[in-house]
Amino acid sequence: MKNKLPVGCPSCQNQLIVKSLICEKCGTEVNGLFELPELARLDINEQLFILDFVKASGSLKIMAQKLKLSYPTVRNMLDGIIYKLKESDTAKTE
Amino acid sequence: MMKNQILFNPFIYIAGYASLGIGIGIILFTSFIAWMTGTHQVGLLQFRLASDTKWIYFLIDHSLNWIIICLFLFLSGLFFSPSRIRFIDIAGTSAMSRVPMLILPLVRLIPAFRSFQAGYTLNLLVLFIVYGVIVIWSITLLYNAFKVSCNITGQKRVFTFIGALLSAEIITQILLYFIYKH
Repeated sequence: MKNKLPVGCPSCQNQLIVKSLICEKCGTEVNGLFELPELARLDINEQLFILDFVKASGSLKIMAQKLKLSYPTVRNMLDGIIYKLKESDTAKTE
Repeated sequence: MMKNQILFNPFIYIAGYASLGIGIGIILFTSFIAWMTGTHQVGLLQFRLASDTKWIYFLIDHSLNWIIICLFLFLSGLFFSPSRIRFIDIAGTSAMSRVPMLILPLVRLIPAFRSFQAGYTLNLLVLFIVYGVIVIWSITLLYNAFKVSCNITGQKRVFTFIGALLSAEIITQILLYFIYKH
């Protein structure tokens, strides 16, 4: 089973950032404070939804068929993600 | 969970043209059984028993209320939804949410519920209880139809739904009054 990338602090729920990166081949380690990319901050189901959406050429109809859900349900899921990304943008600029 | 969703929110799975087809089928079939049993649906909240009217009036009872509710929900969605809503979703899901309305005319096919003379008060009481359940189920379905089709969130959704439902009910009652008068 693949480990899930934790995006929120388990103690205070704040957004986590990356402290170190390591090369699997030679073991070189890079330390610093790096922000997670915006998409990586979404939860895993939302990330999978976006991946599927891109693979479906951005077609909500194809997504609805694939997920066996109605068109407006899928559109609401997408709008939920858009809202979350906009919120995170607003929080960043403040 | 899945069973509850099918009973109270099938719109997660069905919307658009599919729901419109099912919904129109339900409205036509309900109107037919209502005509057979003389069960008038006046708006969403009232029913009347009268068997001496033409079939077209039973069709008007069911379709007029659906069209008006559908228009009010669509207008609410246009003003308050953050999403790009589709009329076909609202029309289809709101038509499909009328499925419980079929129960009352079906119950009236049972001989004990056909006519209510003196001494039949218990049967009439049962009919009212059944109708109460039908209304609650229909409103729950309609609310979920609105929720899925319009994507309005929070208290705004509750208030716009109540507003649309009451406005549609009043206009339906007024229009039906004039239709039956002529």
